Amino acid sequence: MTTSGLIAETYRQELALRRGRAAHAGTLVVVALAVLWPLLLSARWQTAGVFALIAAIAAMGLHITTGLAGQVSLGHAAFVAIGVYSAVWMGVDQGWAWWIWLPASGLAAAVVGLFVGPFALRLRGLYLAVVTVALLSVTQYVWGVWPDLTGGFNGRSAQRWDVRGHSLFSELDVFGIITLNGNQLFWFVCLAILTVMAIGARNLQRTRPGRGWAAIRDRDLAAAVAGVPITQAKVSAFVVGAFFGGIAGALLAAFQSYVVPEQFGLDLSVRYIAIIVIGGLGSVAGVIVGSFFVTILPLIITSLTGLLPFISERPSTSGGFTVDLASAFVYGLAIVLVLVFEPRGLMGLWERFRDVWRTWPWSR
Amino acid sequence: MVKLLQLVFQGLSLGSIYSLIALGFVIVFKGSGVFNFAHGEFVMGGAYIVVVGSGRLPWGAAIGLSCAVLVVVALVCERFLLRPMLGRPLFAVIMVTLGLSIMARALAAMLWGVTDRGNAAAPIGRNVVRIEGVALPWVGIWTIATAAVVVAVLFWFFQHTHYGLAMRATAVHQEAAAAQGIDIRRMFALSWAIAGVLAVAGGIFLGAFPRQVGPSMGFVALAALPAIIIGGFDSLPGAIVGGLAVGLMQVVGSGYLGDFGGGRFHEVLPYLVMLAVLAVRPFGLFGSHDVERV
Repeated sequence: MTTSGLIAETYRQELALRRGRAAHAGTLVVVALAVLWPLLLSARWQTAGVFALIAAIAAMGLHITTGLAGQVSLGHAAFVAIGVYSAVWMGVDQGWAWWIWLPASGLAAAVVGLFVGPFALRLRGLYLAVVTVALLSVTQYVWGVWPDLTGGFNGRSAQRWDVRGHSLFSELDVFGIITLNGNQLFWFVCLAILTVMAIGARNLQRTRPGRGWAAIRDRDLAAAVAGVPITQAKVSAFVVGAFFGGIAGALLAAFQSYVVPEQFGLDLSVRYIAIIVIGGLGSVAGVIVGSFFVTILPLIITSLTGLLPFISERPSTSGGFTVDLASAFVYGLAIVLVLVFEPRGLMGLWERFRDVWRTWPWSR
Repeated sequence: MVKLLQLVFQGLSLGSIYSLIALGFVIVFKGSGVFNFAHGEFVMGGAYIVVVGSGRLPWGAAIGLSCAVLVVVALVCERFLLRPMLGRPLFAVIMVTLGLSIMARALAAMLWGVTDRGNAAAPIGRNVVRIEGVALPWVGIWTIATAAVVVAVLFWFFQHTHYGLAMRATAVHQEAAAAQGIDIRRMFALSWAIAGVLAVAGGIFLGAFPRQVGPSMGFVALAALPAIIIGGFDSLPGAIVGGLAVGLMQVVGSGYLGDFGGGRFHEVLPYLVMLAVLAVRPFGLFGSHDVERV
């Protein structure tokens, strides 16, 4: 039974981070995938991969606000947008270095989160959800009427990410072993940031405030009776979530190198919710799986066009069965199906499979 | 004065459309406990079917067809997607409807393309009645009249019919209503069917001159969100008052605040008023307070 990891026989096993051979193998596969993805796949998949990593950082914030603390937020894209425009302002307009604009744009978003948080004290559920929609439309309005910052309707170019005079977009020779291109560099940088933030998010769950979040998610009134400081817990859920969103925004601006205000609307918020729901609500690994699923989906459908003749690859204004529309449809369908049939998302599917597999042949 | 009257008329006609849309949201929410974010897409779909259908059918027949399609779609969504979600967290239910709205938008773009498809109320025409210098477009008059008739019919339905009473009873307390022999599931279906018809009514006028039927209608319909909050989520009179208020704010605001805040201030005005209302009354103007127990 030791290999299955179900029962610990020694204290060492009980304390182990991962149990059993299969779990070690799983970790190796994930690490290998993370290293090989940018090295083996084509530029198109590399770009999608970086977008997925950035989306995972942003969704990690929503995971804290909504997945852990249960405060429904349809305005997460607003925090990302604040991260984007603070990074652009600091990086381009002021010409500050990356180690200033990256953390500072997270803090800027967190400050706005501090003002949204108090609304969660008096409002719940739907009322709170629509207040976050209001945040979204107010920020959209601000971007629209502040063309000096955002470039208005046409957008503007974003900051370059220079580390000691070396742009992250140009090729880098690593110890003479391998030459990494811009996408690959971005992948490893974002991967490092995501790893730190994911471990941070996971550890936060087990701190005092983290347990407080779980308590107010389940029932805020009961949590208050049990002595959880509700005001602090709700506001901090928004602040921490917004911080993650702001960091993701700064990365997004640097990677896209051109940003348009329109892209930070309700659609983007829904995308982040879709990520945490499809991945599996309340699970850090689920956030990462979900963001890859949602980001890669259009590419998968594009590669299916060769097999399915009725999907046309070119977008058209007169409609028809195009790749964009088909992937939008499948994306909506995935959200609905996951929620109706497997509320715990892709992670739930995986856990079910894993339990069957490791208790075989005694599984149901 | 003429300008103010003119703006008030325009605001009321836009507000009537928002009221119709908001009523669709509220009736579904009261009737089945689902907040249907896809209602905006129902409105869009209803308008598209009217505009495309009236190319081949008479206008009235196209409206009938649109109502029939929307009622069937609403019933299918309710029965197969949202009823399994009964008793699940509010967040999950909202997310299902958001997923539906993404699917509906993609489907609409596949069927009808992404370019605007013209006027959904073409037979009303573009003529204008002038009274003392105030120009009243026929479309606006029709909008307000239709909304008034719809509201009157709804009032009569909820106050004076057997089914209306049963729906109100279900909204107040499902178990108690079931104990009185009311078929709860039928009431759920009925509330969705009513919302389908309301979506067509709202869609026709939201897609009427000078606006057009197009793929962005779903988002325009979401402008009814502050209307619902201002009135209170579970209040039918609240939806009507909120809708009219939002319409007035947008139109009168755009008339008088053009020099202020980049000329687009009227777009966020309803949301700001909504936040102010919520700061004073966390359940909207007419919404009912939840009494919570641990």
